[in-house]
Amino acid sequence: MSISRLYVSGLWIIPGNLKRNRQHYLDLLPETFELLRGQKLAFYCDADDVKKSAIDLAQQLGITLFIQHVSLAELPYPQLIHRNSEIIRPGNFDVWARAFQGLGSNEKALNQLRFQSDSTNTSYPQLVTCWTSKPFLIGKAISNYDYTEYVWVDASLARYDFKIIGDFRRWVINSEQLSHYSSRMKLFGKRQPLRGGCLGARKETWLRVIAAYDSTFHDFFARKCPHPVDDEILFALCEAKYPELFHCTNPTRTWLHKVIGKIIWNLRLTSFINRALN
Amino acid sequence: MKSKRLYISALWLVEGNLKRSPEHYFHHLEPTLKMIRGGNLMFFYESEDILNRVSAVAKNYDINLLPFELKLEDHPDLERSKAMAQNSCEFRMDVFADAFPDLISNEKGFNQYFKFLNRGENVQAYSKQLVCTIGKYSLIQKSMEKYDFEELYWVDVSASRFNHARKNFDFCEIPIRKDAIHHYSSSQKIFGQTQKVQGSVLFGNRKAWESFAALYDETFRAYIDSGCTYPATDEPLMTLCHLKNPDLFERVDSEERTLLHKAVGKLLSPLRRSLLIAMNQY
Repeated sequence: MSISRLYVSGLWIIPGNLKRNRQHYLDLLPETFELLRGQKLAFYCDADDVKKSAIDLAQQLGITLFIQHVSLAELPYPQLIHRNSEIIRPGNFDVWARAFQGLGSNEKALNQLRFQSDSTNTSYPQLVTCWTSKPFLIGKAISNYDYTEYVWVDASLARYDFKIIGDFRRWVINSEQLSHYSSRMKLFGKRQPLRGGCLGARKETWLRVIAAYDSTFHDFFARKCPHPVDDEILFALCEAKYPELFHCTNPTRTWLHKVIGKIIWNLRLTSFINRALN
Repeated sequence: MKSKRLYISALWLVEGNLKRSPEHYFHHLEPTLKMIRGGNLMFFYESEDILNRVSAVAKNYDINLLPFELKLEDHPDLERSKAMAQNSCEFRMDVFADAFPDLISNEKGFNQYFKFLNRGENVQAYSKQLVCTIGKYSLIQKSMEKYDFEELYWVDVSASRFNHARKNFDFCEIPIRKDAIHHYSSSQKIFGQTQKVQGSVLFGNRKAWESFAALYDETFRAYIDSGCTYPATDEPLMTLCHLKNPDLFERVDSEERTLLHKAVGKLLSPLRRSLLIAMNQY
């Protein structure tokens, strides 16, 4: 069976996004498109200038582009997210965010203050809408374009260091799992399993992942969870329920780590090394 | 010579306390008082029955008991505790508790919300239970106003449960080393970070307690005013105080880091990340 792959991406510039400004995305878009040279790409956006940039870049780089106008309001569940914006405020835990600042905890809930941009708190729900919409946009691409594999790429994906984490273009996607990179962020001290910038799976797997994600998404809001939310958090909750659906392409713990860990444990050196490393 | 040390403790039995039964406290009472044999103990209580029990045990161990009746309803921190308990009812982290059940025992806020606050359904009892932990510093202040002892040791009635379970568990033998609140360490986490202070036994000289009181009071007020829903007891508040002013705290159960540890640590530092991954701690 021949494998065909469609890359899927999108870009909405949200005014008041304090983490990433408009220029950040416009600077990285050409570099991300460069990574997709000669490939096929479904691209969703709402702004005319973004659309024009995407068309120009695709022409220059030989990318087969399927571009579609999708407004923020057309992304899934913006009303649901907006209705809950008072609950998922990024400043919910700012006492702890400020207290632990500079300790390098990489804790997701404490890392959200930078999204708290204005007193009306309008940009955060819009950002959440964009972040959480990726699987739904993949679903849209599956409905419209017939390929074997679908790989989500963030418009700013070029910021990743592929020399360290491996090249997603060489991913051999297995038939049962969603391939993804690992994350350094944490949820209550536990490593978040997945980084959301690049996610690839076959059509059937995506449909299973989307169903699990959709149910997790609705559960999160129905239970009025006050934790800030994005796609990576929802995927972490999915992964806890369905670990068999996920495949990390850059495992941090190799067999060599495991052997050394076993030796350290057997020699009862864990406490000593911990103290030595302070 | 007149002793310069005062031990301070209290016991209120809160109906609906999902954390501990009355038997738990009575079980640990005698071994705890045995530890402070021959000392001075200021004891806050509201029930005659509890006072009688404590008096009987104190007599056995030659303790100079200084009882102080304080109804829980009259506790100076009760209103603040109620406000904090009410805020904590909004900590609806069920989706995370379902996904990562071990958080309920390891992570302080989960522990409080799911085990003791019972997802907000036990808020009345929880408020009273909370004031017993979060309000111990007001009691220490009260004891400083009433008596002129130089060293003040807060001791939970159940402090003896840690005997032989932690390093330097016999706090009576630990001298006050500096103008700081001396404390044991905790294994519980706050957003995955280790809580700095364990609240069962805390001691320091008058100067340290006076400096601490202002910091704690300010931290307590700011926490409630912020509306933070993360359920806190005295230990998270102490952790915030510690992060603001680490010099005001002195850990008494530190694992010593010798010259050998430091030298090996220096050699291993380029491999730090790999070693932590190997030990499954990264």
